[in-house]
Amino acid sequence: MKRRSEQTREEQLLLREKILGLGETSFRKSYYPELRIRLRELERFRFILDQVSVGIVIIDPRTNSIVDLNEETCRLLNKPQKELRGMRLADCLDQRSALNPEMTEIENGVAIIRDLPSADGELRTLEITMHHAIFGGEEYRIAIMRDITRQRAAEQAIIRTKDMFESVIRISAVQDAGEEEILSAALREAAALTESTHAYCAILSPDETFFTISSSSDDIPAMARLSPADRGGPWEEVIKRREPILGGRCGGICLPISEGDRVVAVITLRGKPLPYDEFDLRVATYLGEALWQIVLRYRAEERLWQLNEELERRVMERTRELANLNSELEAFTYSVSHDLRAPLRSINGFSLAIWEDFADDLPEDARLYLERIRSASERMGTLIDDLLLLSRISRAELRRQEFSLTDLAHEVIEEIMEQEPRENAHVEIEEGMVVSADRGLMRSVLMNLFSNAWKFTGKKEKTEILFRSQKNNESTTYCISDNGAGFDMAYKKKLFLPFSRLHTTEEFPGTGIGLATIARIISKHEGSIHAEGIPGQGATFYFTLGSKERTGVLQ
Amino acid sequence: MTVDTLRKFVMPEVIFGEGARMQAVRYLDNLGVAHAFIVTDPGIINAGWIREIASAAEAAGISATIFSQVSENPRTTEVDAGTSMYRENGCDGILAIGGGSPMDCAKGIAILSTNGGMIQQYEGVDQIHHMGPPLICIPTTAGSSADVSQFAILNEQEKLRKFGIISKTIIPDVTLVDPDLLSTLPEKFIGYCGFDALTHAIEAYVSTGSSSLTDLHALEAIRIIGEALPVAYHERENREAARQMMLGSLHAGLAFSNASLGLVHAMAHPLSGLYDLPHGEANSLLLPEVIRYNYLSAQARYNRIGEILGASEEDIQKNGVEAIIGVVRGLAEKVGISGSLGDRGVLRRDIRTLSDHAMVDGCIVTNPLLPDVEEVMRLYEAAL
Repeated sequence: MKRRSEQTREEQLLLREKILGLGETSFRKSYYPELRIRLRELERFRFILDQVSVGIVIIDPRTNSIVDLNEETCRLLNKPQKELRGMRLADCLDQRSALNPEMTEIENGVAIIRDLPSADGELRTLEITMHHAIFGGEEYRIAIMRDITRQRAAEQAIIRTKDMFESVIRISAVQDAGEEEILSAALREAAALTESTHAYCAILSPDETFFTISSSSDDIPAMARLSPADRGGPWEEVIKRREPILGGRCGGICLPISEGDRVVAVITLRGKPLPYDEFDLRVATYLGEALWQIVLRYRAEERLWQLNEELERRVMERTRELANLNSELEAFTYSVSHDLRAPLRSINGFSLAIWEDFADDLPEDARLYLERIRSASERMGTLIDDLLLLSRISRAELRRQEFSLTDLAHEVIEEIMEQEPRENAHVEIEEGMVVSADRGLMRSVLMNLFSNAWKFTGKKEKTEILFRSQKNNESTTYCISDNGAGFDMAYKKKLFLPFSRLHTTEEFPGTGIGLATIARIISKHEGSIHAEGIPGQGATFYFTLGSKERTGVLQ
Repeated sequence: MTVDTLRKFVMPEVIFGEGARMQAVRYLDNLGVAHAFIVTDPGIINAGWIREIASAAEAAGISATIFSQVSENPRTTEVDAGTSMYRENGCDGILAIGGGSPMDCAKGIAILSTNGGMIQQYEGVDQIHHMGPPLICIPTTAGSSADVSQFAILNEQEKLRKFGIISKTIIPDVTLVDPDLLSTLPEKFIGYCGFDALTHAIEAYVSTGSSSLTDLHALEAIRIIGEALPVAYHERENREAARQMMLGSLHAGLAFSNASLGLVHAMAHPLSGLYDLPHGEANSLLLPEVIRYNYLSAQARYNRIGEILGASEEDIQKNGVEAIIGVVRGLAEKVGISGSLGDRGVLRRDIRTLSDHAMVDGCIVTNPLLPDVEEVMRLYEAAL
């Protein structure tokens, strides 16, 4: 708190001056400075309002006339403030009078005003929302205007883009139709997307001498579908310039479809009520390109289909020929073998008769010759038997059954050992091998393979034969190995051909048909067979019995 | 001494006369007020004056919000409450109807409504930077003259003190002085308020800030009040006496608002702050001692006052200041004012505090003689 002593005389005098109203800041009450401040604030606010990109209009509801507005409104309505004040909003908006009723109806709602001309000549779209407001005790309507031209355009672009993709999907899904129908459907889509009445596609012939014309409607007679390509019209121009023409001489849109550097077709759109714009061109270009891809795909499919047909036909022909040839060959083999038996029997029988009845009378040389005749005819008999077997197997039907391969192997080896007993022989057969196969045929297989093994080990001091199975994944491989003469792996391919032999008959007897027969049987089972060998050390035969085989090891 | 030649005279637009209150609606409208904030007190509401004016305003399309939480000595908290209410209701002008309390409170609300902050910030002289809203006053007492003055005295209760706001910006725009309203005041208040007005006139007249313009109003006020106060006090139905009291108070207000006051007010303000003592009552009890203290510094002026109040030239010649004090006391007794500060519960131990406050009160600087704190203490003691 101030004391007298602290308050100087000077200060007291100053205070006195102020109280008497003579201080620097003493002034009579006046609203003017305060009003000026408020006015400046309002002007500042007005400035802000004039900067916003929203048109604000105050309307007297009794006369519907504009009381006040901001700058943006002038821009949107393309008229100066002076002119707009006092006008009815509906009159400002509209040259075509049809909007008047719409404006009075909206009241508190939203109105969209389309195609309003602007200063730059473009048409714009306005969104107007109406509000009620009361200030200073008076009721007003406030119209808020927004230029939504770009927003609308963006929305339209999205919708049209979506339509465009849907069109392409629809076109590419057209099924069971010819190229002309696909083209026609695509052109209809293009016309609809661009609000055109007509759409044409002129495909240039490969030699570039004429166009093949398709249309969105069926209004082109078949006669007029071909047009020479030397008329110098818009199509030729598009082809020459390789760029689209918008408006002008083509009266719509003409655009090229290219494949690499070459223009292959021209698409024309006509009849849109408004001028065509860039977006129409984009839609048409996209659709045209998509269409061309679809046409190309269609053509490729068509060609592929034709090729397939041709191929199938040729395969069938070849198969039939082969089947004929096969059966002829088999019939031939059979009849030859069969018919050879009778003369052979005569040779055999009569040479035996000579041997029995006149052996003693014959000179030594004659007896030798006779023996040779007899052995040769016996071999021929075996040969014929084998050939007949081979031919029978080729024609026989496969009858699969489940049986023990182990048992069958024992049976076969015992038979062989009985016919040609041998000391020092060791045969080992894996227990429990069960297969699903044709038992009769498999007997031939085992008989052949074991006989071979027995035969080719005859000259060894000790015979060793092994029969085992190897399981890899789902398939089982059976192997029969011996320690016999073996063979050179260079000849392994010849092994299974009929009449081919790796040893002389003198060394080891045989016809050379056995392994061919086995191969045929295994092949009938849809299995495979191969052999490995080392000369002088033995051979191993591996075979499988195909996919239908069901094997298991009996416990 | 500085060169002391400049004088200023500022006053509101004044309408005086019976029925002047009914001009309120026209002035609200002229000042562009659409929603008036009426500041008053419950007594005035009970008397029916508010209903009359508010309904007239509403008939003219002006809404009204009424605020009546105003104490005898208006409090800063009441100013705050009124300001909130003013803002919440979107008011744009103030109509104060009542004695000095509602009018000072209305001034406080006017200050805060445009300047914001705490009302204590504006204590002192010329501390207000923004104009308040339009302010129209209708006084119902003949005394405070807040309706024409640049003063607002408010009570800061937490600190038990009164403080003054002095600024030409709080001089009301219009005052409608309507003698009809005086009739509702209790008898006791007529005496105190009348004596308050008389003190205003006397202090303005002897003030070092007085001028020919203020002297005119001061002397006229002393003359009118001296004659009319006893009549108005005793004859409550005497309309002419009431009218004269209103007129006297108006003159006194115009005088002191421009010439300022003196030691009586500087000492009375702390008393009202500390004891909530009615302003007029405190003034009337301090006046004789201050006259005695000042007399030699403004002898001719005090003698003139004595003459107007009925002291004979002879009496003055003979008894000097006692003659003056005699007529003043005589008048006080006629309107039921007697006794001393001590009778009102003022304690000796508070004198130091009261004096300290008085020493820094703005009114002291135009007193004819500038006292030191001991002198002020002695004066309080003498008035005990």
